Amino acid sequence: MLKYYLFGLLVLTLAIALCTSLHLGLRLYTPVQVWAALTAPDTSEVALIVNGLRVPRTLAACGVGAALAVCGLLMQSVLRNPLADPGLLGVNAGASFAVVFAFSVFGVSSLHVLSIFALAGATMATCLLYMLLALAGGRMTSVTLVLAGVSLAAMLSALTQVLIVTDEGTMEALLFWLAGGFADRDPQMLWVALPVIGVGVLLAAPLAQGLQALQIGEPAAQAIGVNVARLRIIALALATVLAGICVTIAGPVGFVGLVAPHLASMTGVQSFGWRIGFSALIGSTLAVCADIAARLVVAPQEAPVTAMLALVGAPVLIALVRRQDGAVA
Amino acid sequence: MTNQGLTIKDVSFAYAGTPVLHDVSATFAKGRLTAICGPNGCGKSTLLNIAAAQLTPSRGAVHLDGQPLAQIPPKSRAKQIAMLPQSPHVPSELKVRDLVGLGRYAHRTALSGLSVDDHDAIDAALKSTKLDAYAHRPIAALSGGQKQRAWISMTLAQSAPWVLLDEPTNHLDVTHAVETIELLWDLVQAENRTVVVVLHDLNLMARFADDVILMDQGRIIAQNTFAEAVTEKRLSAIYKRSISFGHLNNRERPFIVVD
Repeated sequence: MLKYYLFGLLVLTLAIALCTSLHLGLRLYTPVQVWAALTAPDTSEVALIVNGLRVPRTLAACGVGAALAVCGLLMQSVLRNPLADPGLLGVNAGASFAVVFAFSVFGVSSLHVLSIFALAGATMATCLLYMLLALAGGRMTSVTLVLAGVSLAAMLSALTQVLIVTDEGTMEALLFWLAGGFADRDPQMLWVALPVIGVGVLLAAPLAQGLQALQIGEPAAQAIGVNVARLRIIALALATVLAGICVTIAGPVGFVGLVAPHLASMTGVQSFGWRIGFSALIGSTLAVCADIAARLVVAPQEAPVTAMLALVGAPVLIALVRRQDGAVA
Repeated sequence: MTNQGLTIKDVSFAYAGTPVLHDVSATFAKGRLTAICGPNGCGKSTLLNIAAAQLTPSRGAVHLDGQPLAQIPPKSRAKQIAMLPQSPHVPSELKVRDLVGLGRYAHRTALSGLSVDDHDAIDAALKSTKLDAYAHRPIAALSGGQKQRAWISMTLAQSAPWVLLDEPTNHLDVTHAVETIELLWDLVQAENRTVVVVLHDLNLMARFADDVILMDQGRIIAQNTFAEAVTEKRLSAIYKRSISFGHLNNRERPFIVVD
């Protein structure tokens, strides 16, 4: 019963965050102004800012937050690693590299084509990571996997930097996008990406039982009938697609995928199906709140959203690593 | 008749190039409690894992009722063979009943909740492991013996006629170790299941095993009923210590003394 209340509470929190996001910014609007802008859009400044800027960035934050949270949850459970996150494991860096590569080497500028490159880059990074895992024969600890991921991310980021430095035109156009964030994103892309994210999150539901079973370890899960190899590939593929889409919309955004699933598990909900929903809601709320904070902390300038998320995420990461050490001892 | 049961034929296995099993063949008879015994590193856990399709042999084949085990899909296999691996990972925040419920994985479809059958099987498994009173406690709050019973309970909830366990008495004190094997013995007697168990404790083996497989250095030394398979001479040779039988007046089976 408690989980229904919690679910309601999370939905309510997200709704409040979404509303707040439409009101706050460089200019503060009253609910009456926002309502008027949404229901009867005209050419007034309020309507232009609310409909043209704040609605898209709020939706982007909402969708990307949910997708990253589910992506993080999938990676954490399938790799049995509480530190797994598309940012830390280099999946975002892979997608970013592919986008910059396509832009600077092939001169691709269509967002739809770039999104395909982002997916390819994310897939490449996941495959590399999977190969590293396979080479270690499944004997990799949580921390060494993350070290491998961070190294992979550093290598891919370095390659991205090289591409950018050799081509100044690229630098101009892509630095903004590479910083990661939800403001001034292409709304066209958003209308394609949001339904895909919705479907992706729903597709995680049938994996819930298997992921839950994986909690007792791979041999025991296999013994009770889980096809661990297949589950791993499906879950990682889904996580990769979600991460790739997020990178196309918002650039590389870290820490949501790490933090949201842990906050969800702190609610004490054991059922994995519920945990997927909780993670998505918390991820959305986190991303929307970080986006609001980014507008306010150094106004009239915009702070990077990634910095806002790192402020929340880094302490969580440290706490998790400490708990990991405790668990090993 | 030859097609019935769980059979392992000419199986070899190597871990990272090091051979662990050499051309091993074994048959596990239905409705019996079979114990696999032998010194550390003799390959008994590997043999059990191969019998449960947890490991794929490098050579040879495993058949369940005449069907190659490797060709049975994981869920169908899990309905036939339940296997408890050695010291599985315990998610401490999980409640006992939820852990036991995981045993029902093979009986559920991807999006369904637990059915009435599932709940019945879980209740029965909790009852036969005497954990009904602890069903709603987190695993972390259980003692070592209770934790082990919770794992066995999960394995029972799988409702499989074959139950394979890898050193289920490890880390248990004598009382809990005896109770655990008694529970397995009851499964064979009362529920007509077939139990195969890897055991380190020779006295537990001597008291409860119907059949015994003795292993040494990746080979099966003897495989038969307890009385036929287990002799002082064989045990002494395998364990490289002088091992003898002792007898108590009221017991049919001997106890085992290591000099």
